[in-house]
Amino acid sequence: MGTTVVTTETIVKAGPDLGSGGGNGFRGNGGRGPDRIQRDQYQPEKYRIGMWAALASIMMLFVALTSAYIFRYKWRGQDGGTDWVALTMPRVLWLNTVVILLSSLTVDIARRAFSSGAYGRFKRYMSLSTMLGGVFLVGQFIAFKSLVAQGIFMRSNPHSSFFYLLTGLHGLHLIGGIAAMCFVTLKGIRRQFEEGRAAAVEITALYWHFMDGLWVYLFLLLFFWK
Amino acid sequence: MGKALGLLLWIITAAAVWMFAVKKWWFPESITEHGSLVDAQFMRTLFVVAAAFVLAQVALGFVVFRFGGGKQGAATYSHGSNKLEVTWTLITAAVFVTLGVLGQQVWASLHFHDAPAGSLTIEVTAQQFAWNFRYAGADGVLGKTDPKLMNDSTGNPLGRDSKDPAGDDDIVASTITVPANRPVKLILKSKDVIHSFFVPNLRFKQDLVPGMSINVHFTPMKPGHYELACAELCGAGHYKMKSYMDVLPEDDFEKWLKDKGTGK
Amino acid sequence: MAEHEAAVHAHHPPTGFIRKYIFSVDHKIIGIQYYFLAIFSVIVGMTMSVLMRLQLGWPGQQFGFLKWIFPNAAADGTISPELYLSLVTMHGTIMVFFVLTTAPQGGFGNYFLPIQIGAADMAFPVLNMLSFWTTFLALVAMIGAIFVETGVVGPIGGWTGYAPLSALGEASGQKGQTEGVVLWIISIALFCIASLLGALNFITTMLNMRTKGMSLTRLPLSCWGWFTTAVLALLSFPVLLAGGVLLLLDHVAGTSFFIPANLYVNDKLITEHGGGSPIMWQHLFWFFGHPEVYIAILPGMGATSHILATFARKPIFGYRAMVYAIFAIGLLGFFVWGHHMFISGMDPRTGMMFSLITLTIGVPSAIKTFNWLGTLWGARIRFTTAMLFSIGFVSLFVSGGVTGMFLGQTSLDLQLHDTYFVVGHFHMIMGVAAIFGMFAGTYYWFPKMFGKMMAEGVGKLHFWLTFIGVNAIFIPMHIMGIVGAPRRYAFHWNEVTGEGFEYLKGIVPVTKFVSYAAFFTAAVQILFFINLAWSLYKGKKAAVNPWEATSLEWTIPSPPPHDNFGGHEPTVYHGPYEYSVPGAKTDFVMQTDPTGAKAGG
Repeated sequence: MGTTVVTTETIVKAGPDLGSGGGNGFRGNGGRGPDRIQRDQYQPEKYRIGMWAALASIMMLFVALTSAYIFRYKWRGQDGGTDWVALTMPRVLWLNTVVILLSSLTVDIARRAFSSGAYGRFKRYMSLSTMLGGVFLVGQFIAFKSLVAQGIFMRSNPHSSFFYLLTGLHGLHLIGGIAAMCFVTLKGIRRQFEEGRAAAVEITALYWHFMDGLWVYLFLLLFFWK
Repeated sequence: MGKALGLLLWIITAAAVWMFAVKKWWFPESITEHGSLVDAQFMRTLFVVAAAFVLAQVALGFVVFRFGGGKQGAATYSHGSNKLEVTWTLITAAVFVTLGVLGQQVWASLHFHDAPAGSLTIEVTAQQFAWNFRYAGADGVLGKTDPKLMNDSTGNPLGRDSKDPAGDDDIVASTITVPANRPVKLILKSKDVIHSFFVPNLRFKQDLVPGMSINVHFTPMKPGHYELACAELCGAGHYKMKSYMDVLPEDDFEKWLKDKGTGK
Repeated sequence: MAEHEAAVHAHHPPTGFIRKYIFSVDHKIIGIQYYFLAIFSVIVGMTMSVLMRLQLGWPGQQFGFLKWIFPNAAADGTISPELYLSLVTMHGTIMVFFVLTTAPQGGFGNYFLPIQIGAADMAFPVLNMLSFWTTFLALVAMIGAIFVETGVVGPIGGWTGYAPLSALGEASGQKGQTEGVVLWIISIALFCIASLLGALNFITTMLNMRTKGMSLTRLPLSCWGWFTTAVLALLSFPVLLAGGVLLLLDHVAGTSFFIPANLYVNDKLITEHGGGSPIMWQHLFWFFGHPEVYIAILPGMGATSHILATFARKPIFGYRAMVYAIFAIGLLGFFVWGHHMFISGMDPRTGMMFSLITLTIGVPSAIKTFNWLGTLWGARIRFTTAMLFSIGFVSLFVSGGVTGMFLGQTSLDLQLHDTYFVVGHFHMIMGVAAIFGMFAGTYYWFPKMFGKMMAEGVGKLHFWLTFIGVNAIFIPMHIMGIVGAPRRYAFHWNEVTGEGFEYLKGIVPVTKFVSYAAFFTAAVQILFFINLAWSLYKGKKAAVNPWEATSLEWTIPSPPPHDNFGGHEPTVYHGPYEYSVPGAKTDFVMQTDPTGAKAGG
């Protein structure tokens, strides 16, 4: 029990420091550590597991909406109306697709830079990715505006409804990703970097890749399926 | 305590079995061909389910009764038996799947075939909270309808297009009349929300979904006056969306159809 | 992002009242918050059911006190059909979401999952707090739906909210379908988000936070119940969320996902919408709705297994089979949603497939029942209140489960679908069986949660009366369904006015009997609430391990300190159910006891 006392002191001292460091994940060790000292060590696993779980649930959201999309497409005209009017794709979406693919690339460069110790390079590429994310959102906004200018709204027809809904939800999730990228670029990362803690960067990159893949999927679904 | 709980479990089991066994409250009489098959499948299932129910509850009562005394020695130390697990898994799987397969036959006979030739076709249009039944009349063709012409207050609930002569001899009624021993084909539609066509004596139920036209068929056998209920929540008046199904002998039905056709 | 949490939970117990009890990140406080949120909801939901039984037993009759409860909606002292349907909707919604989903998982799961695996807290404590407060917001929105429209206490479309009735809004001409339904959808959407955050947290906690020696096969079965539930929630709530968003858009943004063309409603042709599919809503809803049934019952199964072993003084019979059965039920639960839609107009061929898969769920359910019986065989039962409710759970699980064999068959659904047979079936299993799981959990874990014992005598009385009561309510409902009584009817036969269905005249005495049984059972619950309140203040002080149980929560003080294990991490040497080990000093060997290491596990 002697170690326990020491442990507690360590924690009390370490507490505020760890706190200012941002995300340290010091609770939990996947059933491996023998006592509190190890238990309080940096545990990246839980962030990875948590992120995979989150991605699974986001995936289910879009799976559900995809089924609705296909179901609704097959249903069109069932009750006499031929209401499904396919949108002409706003051209800016091509550009957007390139931008988000590019951002996935830069995020991955940043992630590798972080783990190989090139902090400056990490910072440059992460900032670049954040900017590309922003550019993508602006591009989406332009696409929306061009559709609105043609008089195509959410309510106009099922294809436009699904277009606004799916890209809007993707955009919302993307904003979360951009916030995470700002966070890892700007705040409290220096210290994590020094301690070799890559979880925040890794799960941010993972999330961003997922958003990238999701976009490509939605792009194909909305404009190239059938 | 154990004895009391064991007894209570047995009493509840006995009461439940009694309720199902006395048949004081039971299905209304079945009047269709497939109805007796549904009832037979129900009884088969009831037999299996009652056996499972009684066995499980009696066994639960027994273990509670037997091992709840508190006076015997230490409990048995056992983590289970794989042999037993496999045995009862296989037995239940065999019983349940057999039951499931048997249960599909009636369903298949009703839903996997079109209505037989010579069926009487009736278009059923449900609305909050009434039923419309339309017969094609002498020409055997239902007149055109247009939703834009629908108007409940002027007596054109189905939106009949008066320009179409095929509709002139159509018969529209608020109760359904069908001949006995002749297959009936229903075309089910709804004007507003989802309703469900349910005549307990028919052993038949089907939702009427707006935007869809669902074809079903059955053969009533026994003449009589039967109640028709809506079985899908459709709004405040759901509980009173009631109508009747009259099953008439073939001759009486022809007469009814003729009177209806000329009488309007 | 989850990154912020470390700063908050720096192992000093928070000192301010607000941080300690309101916006707490301690899983134990959050568990208690969830539990009391469910208690509040169950009181609202149960009151509604009593009012429904009043109307069903004595349709259209005047009761003076109704004027007092509903000054607007029941100004003449009678329950109108609209009011009745809104009671049906809100009873269902509140019970399913805010009681059955909240108490077993959010309440007991939150409190005991970390402790039973030997962790100091959930993986993401701040996220945990957010889940609770999002749930709270959802409840506020749901309660708002009660008050927002006059003449009703919420939407009238049932908890399943079938489109297009729920999507039409003002145009439907029905009360409760405008602001009421909007708040109702918003509440459910918030609830989805809260449940997703919670599920993510549960999964991560159980996978990553287990203490030394706590291998997967040494986890108490309650943990497996919570974990599987979390997986189901993680994968099914997004689908409901998607459906809810689409429904909301149809309702407020003029889209047509679920609304078909040419609807003629309330003497008007609806031209703003067209082309949508009402069946699509049912697919989305039931894809969530069926796993939701297991979300309600699996934690109860876990807790019951845990408690049965404790008071049988025996190891659980077939631990691995129990875990596999929970998984099998959860997995199969994703492929059977169509059995709610046999007669919906869905392709009859798919109905057949759904039917066959549905019946196979009977197999893992039977395995669970056999193993519970096996656990009790040769036991030395201690009849605590918790044990009584667990045995009651097994009995109700059997009663409610077997009738699924009827409803899972396409051909029998022709007659039984949407009748009281269904009402009896699902209340028996996801209603009272799940509630019995909660009662068992309450009587079992209350001493740990609050450091006080509950009054056992009152508790036992509560069990006997409740067990008789629920059987008296729900078994006769099956019979009413066989006669053909449709559900969601404001009444079947009104003796006074002679309105209603002639073929249902015969069940009037049954209906009245069920109503009396419901009043009785509801009244009996007062015993529970009094016991709960009294024990909180005056209960006997609880020892560390009052039940002589083996799992980790019984190694720490009652109630546990802020960081659960007081700064050290327990080491686990055995499986969770080492009772009556031959040669051991006591008839239970704690999971943390190294000397009994020979016990295996």
